Amino acid sequence: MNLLELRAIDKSYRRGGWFGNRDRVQVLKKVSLTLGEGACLGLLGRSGSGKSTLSRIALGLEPTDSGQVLFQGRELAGLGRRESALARRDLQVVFQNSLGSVNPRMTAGQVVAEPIRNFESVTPSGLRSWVSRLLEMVGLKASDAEKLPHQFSGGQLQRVCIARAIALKPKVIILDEAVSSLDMIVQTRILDLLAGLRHELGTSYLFISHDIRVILRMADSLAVLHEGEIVGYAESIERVGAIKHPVFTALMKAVLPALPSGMRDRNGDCTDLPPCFV
Amino acid sequence: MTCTPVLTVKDLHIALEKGEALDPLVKGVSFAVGKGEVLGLIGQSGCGKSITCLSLLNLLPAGLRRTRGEVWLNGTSISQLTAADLRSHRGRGAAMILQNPMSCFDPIATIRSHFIETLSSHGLGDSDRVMRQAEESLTEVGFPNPHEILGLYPFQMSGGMLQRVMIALALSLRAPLLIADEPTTDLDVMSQARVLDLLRTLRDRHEMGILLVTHDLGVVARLADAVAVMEEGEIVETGSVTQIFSEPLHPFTKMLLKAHFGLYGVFADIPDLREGARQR
Repeated sequence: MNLLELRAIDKSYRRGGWFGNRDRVQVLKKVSLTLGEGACLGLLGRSGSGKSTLSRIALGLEPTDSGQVLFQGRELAGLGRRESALARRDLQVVFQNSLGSVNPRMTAGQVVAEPIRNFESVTPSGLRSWVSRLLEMVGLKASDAEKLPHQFSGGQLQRVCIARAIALKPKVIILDEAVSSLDMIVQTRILDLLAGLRHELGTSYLFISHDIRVILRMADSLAVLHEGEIVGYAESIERVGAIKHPVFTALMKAVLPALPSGMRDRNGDCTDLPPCFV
Repeated sequence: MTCTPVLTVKDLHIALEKGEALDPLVKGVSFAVGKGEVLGLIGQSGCGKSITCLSLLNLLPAGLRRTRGEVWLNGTSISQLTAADLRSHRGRGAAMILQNPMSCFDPIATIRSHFIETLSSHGLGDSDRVMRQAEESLTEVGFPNPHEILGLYPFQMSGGMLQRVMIALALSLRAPLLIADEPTTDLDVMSQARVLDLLRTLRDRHEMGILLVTHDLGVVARLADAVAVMEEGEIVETGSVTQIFSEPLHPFTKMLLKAHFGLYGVFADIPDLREGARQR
């Protein structure tokens, strides 16, 4: 069954804020996507292509102009209060800006505990050990629970946000440029962590990024978003090469090289990695 | 590079003042950037790359202090410069571009005002010349209609456009050295490619020396001639870009490269994709 399904989503915003003219800008045009159980769908697009609007709509944080968002076969917008709370439990998100996603006055422990307290009744000591376990799962220390957000580095705080997102073993996590501003070693560590969690908990991901290197590493299917439209789709990563849309080709061409030019062969082929890394 | 390097750093130490005590953050860093050379300074977040850059123009924030070592800009030691000389060196001797271009602009001033302010503070004031220079630099960084750009406010432009305006501002002062601290990190891949191509043009056409600070080895592979690897405030390895990529010696360099190549594993497995990548 499809866990998350977007059907022909249209969305427009009014340009120019309160005082501007009343033109509307169409940011999403008839976007349809499906995310199956245990799957990882990569969504690739340039800045301004509508990726983040799409993620907010998929979360039910923003209304659509037309079209439906279905979570586990039922329309998000039509759910009652109790049901939509339950849907929220199973549909989590990690944004790019980790510092903007946490309350600066709450400790990391309180941040991670919040969803648990909303949905479960646990004793204070049970909650503490639950939070410690989560922090350790994402590679932080249990003692980090006492720290405030500004005492963490960007990569560490992003891991706090991931701990919060996985706290209740949700069915779907939307990762909106979740690793884009992290340095490569931390990025690799977090991608490994997410892959491990998927394996362990069977979580599905909607993985949004402008960096195809990261998407190819994580996703098993790929959709390309350009000016609010899906312009390319590959059911499996092996078929990505069959996407012929010029925007996708341009994105591929812009990928940074793996090796300096002196080490690439005449074709610019980058497969010749030093033996110790292959 | 036989002539004097545009930037020489020797045994640079920077420490954080904690009451009486000093907490060392940069511990004895040395490197040089020649004319028309791109030196990639790579390392993890928090290893001291950015404060090294700031100290090159005496721009360290309060609490941080250069405790030892020397910096020469175009052959002049910065400790021997008066405050006024140093001010004119910032911008003219070395220009700087940073990661988040939006934060580098005054939100309520047009791009035209930014050019006027920058150029007139270096005594290049009369307005006709300023505007000619501004339009010339903007054309060079790839804006075919520079006149329209001059009238815009920063919030009306994308991150990639602003970064190119930053480079145009740097270019208009004809600085021989550009310090680029994570210049493409917040940009999408297409803007990234464009900014990197532009930096390459600056090196080739104006023989600008570039100190390129980044954590992305793809950026280094595309642009750098030489590489210095920094770990926890120390430079652990230096070498030409091919040396570093083919025969890394230090375990930390190997770890960085492993993370980097990990991002490309899939490319080799998909023939269609390899074909696509070849067109690069």
